Amino acid sequence: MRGGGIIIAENFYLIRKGLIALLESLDTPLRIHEAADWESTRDLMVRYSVNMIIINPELIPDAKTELHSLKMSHHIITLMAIDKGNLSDNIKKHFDEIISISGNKSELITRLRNFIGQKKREGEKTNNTGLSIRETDILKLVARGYTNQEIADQLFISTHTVISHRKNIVSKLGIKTVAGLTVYALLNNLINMDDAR
Amino acid sequence: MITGSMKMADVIHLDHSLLPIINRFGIQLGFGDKDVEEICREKNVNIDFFLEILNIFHDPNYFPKDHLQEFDMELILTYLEKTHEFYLEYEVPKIESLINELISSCEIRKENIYLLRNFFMNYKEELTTHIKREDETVYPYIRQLVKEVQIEKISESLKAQMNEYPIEAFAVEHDNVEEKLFDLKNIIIKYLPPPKNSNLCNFILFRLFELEKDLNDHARLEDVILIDKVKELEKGAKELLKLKK
Ligand SMILES: [Fe+2]
Ligand SMILES: [Fe+2]
Repeated sequence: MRGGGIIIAENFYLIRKGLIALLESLDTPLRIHEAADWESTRDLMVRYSVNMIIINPELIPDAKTELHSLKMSHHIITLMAIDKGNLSDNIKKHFDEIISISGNKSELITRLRNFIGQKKREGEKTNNTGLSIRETDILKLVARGYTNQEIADQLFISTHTVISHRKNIVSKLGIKTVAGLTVYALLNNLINMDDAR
Repeated sequence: MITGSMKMADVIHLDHSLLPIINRFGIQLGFGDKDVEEICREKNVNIDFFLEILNIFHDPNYFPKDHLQEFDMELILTYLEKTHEFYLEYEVPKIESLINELISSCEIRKENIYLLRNFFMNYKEELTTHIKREDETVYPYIRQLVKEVQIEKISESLKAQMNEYPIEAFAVEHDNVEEKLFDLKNIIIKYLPPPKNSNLCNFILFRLFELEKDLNDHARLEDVILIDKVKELEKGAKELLKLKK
């Protein structure tokens, strides 16, 4: 089971605690850390192994610069922005996911669940790559160039589920692009050359 | 912190990865005992800018945004262009030829390295398109903007470009060209069955690390410094247009 940590960084106490309560209701194995400002967020990143951050971008004093340097660190951290309705596209593009605080309960839960990639069912087997069998199936299709919609149709699952599997694959393998996943799949004989075209 | 009174040779001893950056300013090896200030004077290099560029590369936590934004646009553009040139004319072809060398040194499992090469070639194409667009469209637009704001006369063509494709549109599209490099590194580090010539493989990996760092540094200058400066200019140009009416 993947442990790792998630930081909730938000200055409004109510919003922060609300997000934490929702996350806890998902019964996640992630260790939840909270921060009310950017400095303590950075501090937590240094002290713990953190692979996800849900943050209000307004907390970051110089967001563009900081998000750049975050990318320069060596492990993959996935980022979710807390949107209070005033985020510019320029900031949004640095995030993997956006959560709007005006969403209703089920929207919020779906967003969070997708973000933390929580789809792993009890007892699901993993093969030697660390990917579950389901994830491996999806990887094969991604590597063969199928879109999320096509994969969803083929496997009779929702696109949300596909997306959350894909997030897991990316964070397990450390490969972000489709081209990179294709090389991985070829190297491991998950697909053959003809499939890749 | 690198300062003007340091000997250039000592700067290299401190951080040799700065050499390609220094070259971009037209400064080559053979520094003798000269200090940074002397060399900059000789080569007609703006020392303030030179030092800031070296320092932000040397220390990832150092990024004096306000000071950087004060520099002349032409200074920044020239440096960025030189960096483009370094990627396309030197570093990327170099890595390509090293990968080819790796292929010829392999006896078995050559096809794995072919995969790697394929991936890298796609990357090269992407990077080339990205850079070409900046060199041929974005930077010329910025230069025109600088010129026309300075003489306080905004031409119709500039006005049209500013409306159709303002810098904000570029900012949103400006993508992370380093993502594929990150993948390539991980594929080599984690998944590629070790090729026979592991020294060569390590060497390629080192170069990928360097290139990625350089690209990140470059993108940060574009995203944080260049774009904000251009936004200011666009504001100025719009003011001028309003006054005319
Ligand atoms: Fe560039
Ligand atoms: Fe760029």
